[in-house]
Amino acid sequence: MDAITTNSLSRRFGDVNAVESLDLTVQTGEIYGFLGPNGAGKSTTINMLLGFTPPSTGSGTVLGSDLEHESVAVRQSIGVLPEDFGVYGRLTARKHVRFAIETKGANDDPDDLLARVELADVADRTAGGFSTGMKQRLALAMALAGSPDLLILDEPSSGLDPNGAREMRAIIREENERGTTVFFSSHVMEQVEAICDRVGIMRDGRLIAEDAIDSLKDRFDADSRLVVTLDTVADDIVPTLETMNGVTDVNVDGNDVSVVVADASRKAPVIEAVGASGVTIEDIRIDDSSLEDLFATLTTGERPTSRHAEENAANTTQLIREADQ
Amino acid sequence: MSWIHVARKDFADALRSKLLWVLSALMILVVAGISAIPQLLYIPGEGPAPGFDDGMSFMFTWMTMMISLIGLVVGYRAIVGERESGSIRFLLGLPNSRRDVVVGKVLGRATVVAVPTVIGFLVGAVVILALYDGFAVTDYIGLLVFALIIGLVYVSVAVAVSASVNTRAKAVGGVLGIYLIFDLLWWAVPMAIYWLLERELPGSTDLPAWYVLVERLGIWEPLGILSGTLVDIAGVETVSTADRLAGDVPFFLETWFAWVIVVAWIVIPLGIGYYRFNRAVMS
Repeated sequence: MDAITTNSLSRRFGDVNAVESLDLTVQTGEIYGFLGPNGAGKSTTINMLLGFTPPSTGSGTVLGSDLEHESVAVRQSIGVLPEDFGVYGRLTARKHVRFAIETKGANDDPDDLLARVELADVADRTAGGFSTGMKQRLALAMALAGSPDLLILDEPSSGLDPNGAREMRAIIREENERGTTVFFSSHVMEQVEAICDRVGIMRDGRLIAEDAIDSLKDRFDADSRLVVTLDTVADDIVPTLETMNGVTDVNVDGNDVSVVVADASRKAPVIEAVGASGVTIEDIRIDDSSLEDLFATLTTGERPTSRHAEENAANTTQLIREADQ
Repeated sequence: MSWIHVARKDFADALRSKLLWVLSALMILVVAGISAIPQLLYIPGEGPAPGFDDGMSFMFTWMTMMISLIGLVVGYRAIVGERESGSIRFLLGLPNSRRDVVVGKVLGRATVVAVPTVIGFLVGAVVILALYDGFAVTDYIGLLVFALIIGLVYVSVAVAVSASVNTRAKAVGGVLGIYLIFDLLWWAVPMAIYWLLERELPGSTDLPAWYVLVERLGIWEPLGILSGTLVDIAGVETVSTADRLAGDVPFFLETWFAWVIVVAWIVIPLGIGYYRFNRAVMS
């Protein structure tokens, strides 16, 4: 059984299609990163999964329960870290977690859950004075109550410093290793690249891509860029390199020759060819395409770093349309 | 059944705030303090010394008004406050239905009103026993029960408003509006209708049945009728309905029917509040 499936799930607010005909599948046991810029429809989707917002049309199930008509059953079996939540300022961390445990009818020890998010030493402090990071972790401890099979985390790293975000990732990975499926949303790519098995990318209310990260890179924009700084740039170097197998673009900027190769393994022959032309190589830099670039390409259709990439972005959109049909 | 956890958490939250203790002090002031006034004003030798009934009837109006206001103040933020702070996302992210939230909030907040009321009456009992002769235990307990019912009704109305709206400001406006129209100024409504129909003001007797019925649809009026069945204190009894009417007393003006109206004041606002809350989009 898949952890989450949605079937043409849509939500309109007035004239705005916040989520349009979403078909999402989250497999049991995976960490699924739900990506997209702010306003792409991620939160609306999660709000529909949680029963906060009813869908306009379409349907879906979470751990086998209908998200619209069996919402309490859905929330009984999952753990939720909501977006933009507020804590009960006067209640202690332990009371928060105990409330979650009691509501779920579970029998966890609140202190165990707090220890898992490294809040054990502040269990008796009221949550009103907690930092954003501590509040996020407290909410995560509440989400862990009742050992849910699925965690739905809406922007779990929002408001966290890099260190806090790293800790959050470590906890997520740990929970996944216990066998919990994790579905989390983010608009920050580096959060996702490190830990996700698969990602889905939202743009303007639509899921424009869904795959493993490596496959996405291969499919869309897997070029690597090599920048070689030379003492002198010979006139014939551009045509020489452009005709090489696997080279998709060559640009010269002063003494820098920038070569885009479709496949990282083509970098070595390019360097050899430059060296063979008799000039001295002063420096070599390599920019591998990151998920960040891929994300920018997919969600904005722009990638200002090279002419070639812009074309690629257009192709990407084309590819996506084809994939949709 | 998860409403019980919502109610318990809600009460625990209030315990941590100063609110509960402020309200307790207020209730002690009203029940013990105001009921002492007739004794404090009494000059020995001038007329009979005030007794238990004098203390009680003197305190009655203050006490009932104080509890209705406390009920509204305690209730109006119950749900909309959590919507504004974002903690509603915890409530609704956990396996609570929206009905659990409304029911739990009513019970939690009703307890927040009930505890200071009981404390006020306990301290009041000591003071009243010390000051007055003729302490009637059943009437005192009857008055306490009556006070708790008042608290429940006004808390329900306020929580219903709280469930219906999406900002605290609207909740304040709604609660204030309901209090003014259906409580403080409600007496004017049957009077205004009467004037429109008859072009004269009604007297205090020979009233048509509809007049007394409209009057009794306010929040306080049916409670006032019920006070007569719960307490037997000189000075608190209500004017008999039969004496005010032109004809026989129809069933809907009999005392038992006031219970129906009181229950309706709990159920109907909460029904509307739940309906609106259940359809509210949390985004």
